[in-house]
Amino acid sequence: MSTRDLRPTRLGWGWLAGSLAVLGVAILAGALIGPVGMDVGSVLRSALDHLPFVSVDSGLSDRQEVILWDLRMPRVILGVLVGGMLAIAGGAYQGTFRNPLADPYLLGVAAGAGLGATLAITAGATGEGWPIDPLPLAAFLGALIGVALTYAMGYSLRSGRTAVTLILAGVAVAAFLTAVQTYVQQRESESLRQVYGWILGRLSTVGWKEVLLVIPYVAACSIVILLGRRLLDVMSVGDHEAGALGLNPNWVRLAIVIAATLGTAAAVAVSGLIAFVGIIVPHTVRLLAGTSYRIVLPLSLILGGAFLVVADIFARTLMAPAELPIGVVTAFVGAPFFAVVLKTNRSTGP
Amino acid sequence: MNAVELRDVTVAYNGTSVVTSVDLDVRSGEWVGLVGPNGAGKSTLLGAIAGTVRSEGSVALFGESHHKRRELAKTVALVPQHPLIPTAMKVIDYVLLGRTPHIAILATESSEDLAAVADVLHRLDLVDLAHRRIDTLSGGEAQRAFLARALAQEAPVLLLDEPSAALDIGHQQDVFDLIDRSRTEQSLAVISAVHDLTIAARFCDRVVLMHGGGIVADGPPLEVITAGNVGRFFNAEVKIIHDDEAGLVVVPVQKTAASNIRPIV
Repeated sequence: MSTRDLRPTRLGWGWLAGSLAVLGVAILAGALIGPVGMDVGSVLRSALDHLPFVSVDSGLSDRQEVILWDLRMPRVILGVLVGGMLAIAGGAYQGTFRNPLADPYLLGVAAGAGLGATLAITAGATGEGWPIDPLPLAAFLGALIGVALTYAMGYSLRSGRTAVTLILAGVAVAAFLTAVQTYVQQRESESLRQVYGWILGRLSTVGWKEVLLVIPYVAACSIVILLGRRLLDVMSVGDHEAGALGLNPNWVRLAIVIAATLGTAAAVAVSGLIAFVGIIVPHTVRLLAGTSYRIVLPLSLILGGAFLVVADIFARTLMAPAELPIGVVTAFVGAPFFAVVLKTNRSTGP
Repeated sequence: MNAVELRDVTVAYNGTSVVTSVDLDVRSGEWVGLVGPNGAGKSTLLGAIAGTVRSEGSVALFGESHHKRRELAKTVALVPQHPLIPTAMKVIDYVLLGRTPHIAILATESSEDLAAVADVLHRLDLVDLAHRRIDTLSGGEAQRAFLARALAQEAPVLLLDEPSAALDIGHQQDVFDLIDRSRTEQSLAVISAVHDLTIAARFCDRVVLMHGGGIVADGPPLEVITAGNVGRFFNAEVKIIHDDEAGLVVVPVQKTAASNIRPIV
């Protein structure tokens, strides 16, 4: 083997281009599929028309334009952002905790967000007359409290330096927060339906407002996580050895976990609880493209978006004209997938 | 100047001291073998030098006490007894991890880092294994990969915790020859916990015998590895054979009933 072949693993251009192409196809499919038919050419022309300094006649009627740009596209783009965020956050948690099963739903992040949102809904804070919609804000605070509790509990234990302790703490915190959330929800039974709708996840009621709300969080948090991609590879040899290599594993973990949690909370705030994306996408990437976080994180961000857009297409077409909550679709695929990951990873971690 | 200078180094876990008031000087190019029974504090002492175990007293490397992990990692490399093997990581990526202290926190590796990795892979005959998954290597190959990661750190002090414990006699010899070659070529100060006394005597310039967290003997192998010391501190009954070619050979003999009772030291 020549010295030229002695290059470490990096994200190949082929994989990057390929996954961007998959995302493009998913977005196009999301734009095309629905009760009102449109053809590919018109949709692409209409997209071109929306670029600055370009004017093309799309051939779509005004009604079709409204359906495409005010109903379908915000939903598709939000799917891209939420799916990408949940997937990259899942990959980041798996790396920091060296646990293949870690995802935004461990660590109490989602449970905290759920409790926060339930409190907001049952308190009747629907956003009317408020400067900012209180629902995402409450979910956001709940998620932070959830992860902070997990952190405090994990580290107050004597052996809390290990990743496993922290995850067990997360499970306990999640169970507690879910119990509180269920209690609040049962007491306020008139808002039960609304809470359930939110808990099961939805991309249905979105407009560009939600997209604009979530974009800065997804961008900032993804950048922080992506900057840590090499460090997560170092973390894979364990805290002890990473420390001997000159890294402070606790600081790396704290930074990555905060980024992943903020991103998740923002995603959960606009779309509800969509489970298993953080497990399915990073593990599929590992299987196909490689296990280095230099590959797993960027590709999860891109393919997580594609995955959720496709899941949403199923959610709104399977029972059309009725809609299935998207969380049901992802859980339907994700739960068996989780079992497979559990089985293949019983003795080893990523 | 000594590469490693320990003064009154003590490590305690929950009030019980595991390493007690250790003084030790090691020069560049010198290979010191740490021997002693299980639980004597060898691994903990190595951890204290590498900064992965919190210790009291003074640990100076080339006259300086390092408080920053990164600076410490540029000076001292540690191969633990049971390194954690990441799933599905390629050997070359694993060896590249050794460059961590040389790469700015948010940067990626430079061509200099890649050259250092390639150099180590060549020296340790790992080129053909560079793209193999590290979790599929045999014991001897994996040990070479662990050593390669430590050497890629380019630290002048190399600490090894029982580098050959799980290897057969041939691979054991290979690993020790490799360590010896790296030590001479780069004038490394090597401190290794060694489990096999014959190997320690064969390769180390100096043997330090630990017992109960302290150093009980320190000197050339012939002076430290004696039937008396081994009997007293290992609770073993051995015969030491001196051979012109092989050096010192430690052979266990049948224990007599009386010696089976641990002496009080």
